[in-house]
Amino acid sequence: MNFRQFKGVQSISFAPEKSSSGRNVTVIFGQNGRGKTGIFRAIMFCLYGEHKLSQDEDISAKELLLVNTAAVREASEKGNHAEAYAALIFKHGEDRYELKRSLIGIDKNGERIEQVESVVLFHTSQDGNTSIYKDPDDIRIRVNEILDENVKDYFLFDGEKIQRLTLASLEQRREIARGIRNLLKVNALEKAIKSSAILRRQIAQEISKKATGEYARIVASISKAEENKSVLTEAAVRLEENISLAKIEKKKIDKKMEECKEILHLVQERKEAENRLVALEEELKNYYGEIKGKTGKLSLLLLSSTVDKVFERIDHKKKKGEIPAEMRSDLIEKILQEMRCICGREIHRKTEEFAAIIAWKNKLTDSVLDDAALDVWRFLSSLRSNRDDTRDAAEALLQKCAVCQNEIEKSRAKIGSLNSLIGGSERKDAADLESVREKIEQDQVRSEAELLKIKDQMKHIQDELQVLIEQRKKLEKDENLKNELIQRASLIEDTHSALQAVFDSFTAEIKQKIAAEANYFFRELIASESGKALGKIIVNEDYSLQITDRWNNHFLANISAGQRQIMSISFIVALAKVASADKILEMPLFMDTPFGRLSFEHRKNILQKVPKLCAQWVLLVTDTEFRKTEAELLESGGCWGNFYMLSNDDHGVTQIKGMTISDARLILSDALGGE
Amino acid sequence: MNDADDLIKEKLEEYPDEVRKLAYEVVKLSARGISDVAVAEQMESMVKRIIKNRGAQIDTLKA
Repeated sequence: MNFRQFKGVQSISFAPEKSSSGRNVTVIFGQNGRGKTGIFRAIMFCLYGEHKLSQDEDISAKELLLVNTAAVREASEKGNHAEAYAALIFKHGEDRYELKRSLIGIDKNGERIEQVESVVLFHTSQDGNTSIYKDPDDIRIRVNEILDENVKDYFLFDGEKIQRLTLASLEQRREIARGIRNLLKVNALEKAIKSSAILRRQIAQEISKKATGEYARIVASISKAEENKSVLTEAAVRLEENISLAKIEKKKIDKKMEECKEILHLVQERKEAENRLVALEEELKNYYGEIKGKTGKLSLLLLSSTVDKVFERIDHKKKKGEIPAEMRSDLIEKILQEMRCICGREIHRKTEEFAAIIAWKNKLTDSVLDDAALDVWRFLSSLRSNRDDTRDAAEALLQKCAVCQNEIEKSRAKIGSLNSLIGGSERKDAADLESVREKIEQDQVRSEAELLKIKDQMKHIQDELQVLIEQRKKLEKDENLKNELIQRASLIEDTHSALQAVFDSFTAEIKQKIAAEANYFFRELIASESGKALGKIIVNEDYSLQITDRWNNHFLANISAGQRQIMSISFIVALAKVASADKILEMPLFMDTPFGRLSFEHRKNILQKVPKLCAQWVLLVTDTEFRKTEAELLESGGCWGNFYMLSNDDHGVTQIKGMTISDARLILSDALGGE
Repeated sequence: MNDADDLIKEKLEEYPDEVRKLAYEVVKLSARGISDVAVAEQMESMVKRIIKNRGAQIDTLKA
């Protein structure tokens, strides 16, 4: 009543056990969000008081509301709380049980408060007597004896759980291993060993306080050896975990490196291109430097025709004797002043000689100017004689610059193209992956060496302990075993050793059993074609799963999602069988939308074979995965008992509507083409 | 009863009665989800009871 989406009192009758009518399958049909999982949740709450399912691990108990919201609102408006309960009627053997767990909910100051009110169990035995239990602990013990709490998480499988079994990360595998170990009492055995070890230590301390002589020495030695063994065991567990983590990390890196392999040569190529670019840029810089050094001469090349004109003008004047002047101006001044020639003859005005001297004087330029003109002439002469070389050199330099610039452009374009091929930042780290892997490898090798050393030490201590325990037993025998303390110690010691021995062989055998059953179910459920390439299911040390191909190679990473789902279902059914009754599963099996990834043949196998593997089967399905085809397959097996549809009424509340199978088939959608 | 329980019982068969019963009871206790220390305490009570019964049996035989 008023539980989750279900307002008011609503009920479902699950199709009875196969043994009574042969029809043990109940189909609960509805779209997402209508409350299919809510039905399983109600059962878990009723049986064990659980608020959360395994899929709710990220949700806090406070956020998970169990009392119907509409009912709470209506009650809160009147200042009251809403009442809710989940009740279950079930049989175990010939006994009948009725269990009811109630809670209340109220909205207070905008906050929802829920509280479990009471739980009551009615047990009617074969002879008709009814016992009533109201103590929660008592009820818990009785319910666990019928339906072990450890089993419950494995009787509802949904897509997520199925995925987790075969795609698990390390943390998820640990969680699965914990659940499986709980289910199979492996955890119980381990705890029993730990508890007996605690008691053994306590009694050893008691004895060491009272014992004397040789016995005291031996008891003290045993105590010390046990302590050392415990420390070493913890260290070994830590190292094993480190080694396991290292292997996983290495696998991840190897996978990344596989992806990066194709680009490692691109990374190398890019590095080379970058180095070349730097060299080219340096080369270009040098050429520019050379050009800069020749700027003077080079710029004059631009004035080549002007250079020629100036040179020819000066050269002409030079040839004519005008530059430098045949006679210096100061000499002509002196001659005119003295009116006497350099040969000594007198010069008279208005003579031809005098006119010639005056003509010379007029032709004369400044000597400084003459010198400068001569310098220019010499410079231009040299320039002109080297002009071709200079021009050739300049052309060669410019050519080199052009080539260099072209090469630079090409290098840049290549680097750009390599960058886009190489891609995102994590792939750029390809070159670093190797060094990271190497470090992990070194750490792993160190841990393995240390682990070997520790195991050796542990063996040595174990041998020592055996000798000491034998010596103690002998002394205890000699003491006539009247000493009560010694008797207790002896019994505890023997029990502890027995538990340890059982644990060692038990875990190995139980895994083999699960694997054998899982392989049997796998062959029953897998499509014939699909299963040809596959070998067998293996249960690993940590209870994670592996499957081989027909050549016995590990193949899990290569199977399809559908095959993975069949593998997981087989494993869970095997697990349930090993953990539960002998031949069939006592706990009803709930499957929440199991067909999503499955091809037609797989669905067919599941629909026809699973009902034969369990006492009761409850299918929680949506409209897209349970259609006329699935209905026909289920009906053909003769196991389909009940059908319920979950739908929303006008107020958004889910209503459970029971229907006959023939009516149900009318509302189901048609099969897809090709099936 | 389940396969796991059967297997544990089967393996304990080879041990003396007292050890077998005590070991099985401790495993059942451990499966209930109580702490290691609590299991150890209950185990201690069981051990004391067994030793006391031994003493009573010896006295009965003597008598």
